[in-house]
Amino acid sequence: MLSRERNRLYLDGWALQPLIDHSLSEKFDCGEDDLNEFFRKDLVSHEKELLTKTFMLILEGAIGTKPVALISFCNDSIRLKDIKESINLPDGKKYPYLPAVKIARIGVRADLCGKGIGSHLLNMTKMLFLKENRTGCRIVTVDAYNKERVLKFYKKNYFDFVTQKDNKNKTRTMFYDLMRTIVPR
Amino acid sequence: MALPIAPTPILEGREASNFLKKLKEEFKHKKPLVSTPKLNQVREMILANAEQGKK
Repeated sequence: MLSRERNRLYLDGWALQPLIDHSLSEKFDCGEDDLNEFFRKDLVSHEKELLTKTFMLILEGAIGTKPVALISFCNDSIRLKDIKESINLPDGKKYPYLPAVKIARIGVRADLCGKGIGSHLLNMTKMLFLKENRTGCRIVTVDAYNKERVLKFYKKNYFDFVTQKDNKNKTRTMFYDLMRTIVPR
Repeated sequence: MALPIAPTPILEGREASNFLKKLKEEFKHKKPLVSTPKLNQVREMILANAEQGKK
């Protein structure tokens, strides 16, 4: 069911792998202008500056087909200030932050929306960082568009709000604790 | 221009405490991967399109 290679993850016949050929994202259309703009134009500059890394979802073995979905990641953290509690380890060490990975952008091809690809991509993201956790990463964060449909999608995938202070903003920061995942065998 | 990647807010005081409480509470309720029963439809569509492209 699940197999892994470096920077590549397979789950239930789908492959999540780094986007190497950037021409594959030049005509990507997920039906959302901001996301299209990022994947078509900004992605390359962000990668050159080592700010994000983009992966594509494809059907395993369907060589030469267009990406079904794209997802860009960057490093992140949840920092906690002015509190008595912290993240306590059994040996007594305390940490006022949690290392995280941020989903900088995620988009599913417009003609394939509503069929569970977004959830499958989030499932694969959870597995990628649980199983390929090279730097220590506890949390997945995302800046979700503040639209009912989008927030509902992330809630369905067990994401929750980091704060209530951003509820009037264009985007809301949401998080998922990787430690909650029941890992499939 | 696409929106810049937003910084994740730093949580302070009570909000930070609430976040930790939520984290500890949710940790008790482990979750499986989300079920995606319609994925087979997508697989069939892609394979059919790829087959048509070959002809």
